[in-house]
Amino acid sequence: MSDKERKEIRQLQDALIDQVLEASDEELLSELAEDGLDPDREAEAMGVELARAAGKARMAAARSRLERRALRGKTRFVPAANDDVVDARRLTMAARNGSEQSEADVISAAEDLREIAQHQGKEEADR
Amino acid sequence: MRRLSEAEVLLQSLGVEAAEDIDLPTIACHLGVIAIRERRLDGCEARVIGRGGNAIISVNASSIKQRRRFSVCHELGHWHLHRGETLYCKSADIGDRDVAHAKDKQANRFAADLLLPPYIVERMAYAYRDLTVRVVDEIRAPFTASRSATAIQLVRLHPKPAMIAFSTSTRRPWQIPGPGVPRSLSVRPDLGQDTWAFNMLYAGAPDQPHPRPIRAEAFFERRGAERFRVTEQSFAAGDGIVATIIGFTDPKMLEACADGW
Repeated sequence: MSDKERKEIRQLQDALIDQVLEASDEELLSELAEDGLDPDREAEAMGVELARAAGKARMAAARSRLERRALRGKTRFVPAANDDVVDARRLTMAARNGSEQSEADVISAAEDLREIAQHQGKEEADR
Repeated sequence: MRRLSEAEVLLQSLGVEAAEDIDLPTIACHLGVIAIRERRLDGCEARVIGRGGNAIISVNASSIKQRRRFSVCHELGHWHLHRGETLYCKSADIGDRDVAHAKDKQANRFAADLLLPPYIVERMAYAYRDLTVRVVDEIRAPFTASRSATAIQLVRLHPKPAMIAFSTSTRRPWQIPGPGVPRSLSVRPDLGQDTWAFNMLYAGAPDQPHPRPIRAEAFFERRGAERFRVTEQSFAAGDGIVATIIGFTDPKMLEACADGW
């Protein structure tokens, strides 16, 4: 396709978009009716499409965050001040099929808390 | 119209339309989980540790792949539904145990719906006339879900009335009824010796290849049960548990049940 053809198509697209944007609600409704389409159903379908596109965008954003994190590599553990890590009001903890925790379990839980605190510190610094 | 579950709302908000779209690490990242670790855990199967809006999920590295996947979803359920709470349910706990147990059940349901979203599975289930183990296997393949978890979800979603029962040689059987099957209908503790499940538990029989009709009283200890037949298909569910899909092919049996049979 030549540059001239590309330019013409772009102008045509722009004209069509302008036409839709400039049309009154009544004009749009009557055009839909002429084409035998139900305005409510069309609006609902458009809503579904928009929600789907927004969902895909959220998933893509999360995937990109995950990839960036993987590139950054495993977080190095650094000791954090107890006050910084252990604020019971902000903690969540749940365990599945729990029995008595071993010392290793307790240590790894503390490491997780330090890692989260460090991650949050980094995120804060990046902002 | 059926109300969507919490997991379904989450998946739809992420544009998930098919089994292949369920990307657990990405979904976890979206929820603020910064790492999912497979590690040695002595005191539990899995756990979530969170602070503010971020968390780390750990799963027992020695568990099988499907259980690890379910456990990650279970912990995501706690993280999504019970953020800011401390839930550690031990068998010896008393007092808050019922509350913790109820929340554990919520997390289990969240996990099941995240792994096998009803709005996707239902579409697939309706393509099959009967609910059999072969159907369970065909549907579960793209979800990487276990046979038991998929069978439970299908019993809830398949149009034909069914129940899934779990039996062991040491404890009372427990069951999950599908829609239209009375919750009061319990599997008898002394399974009939002509059930395939009995033969799997006590005579080392293999998985049952096809569903077969059997007298209802082999499974249900109710007066009048001898008038009806159900179908049975049993399979090993691991840890010495036998799962049985019981199909209610005679609508009169369910009517009789509803009338206080």
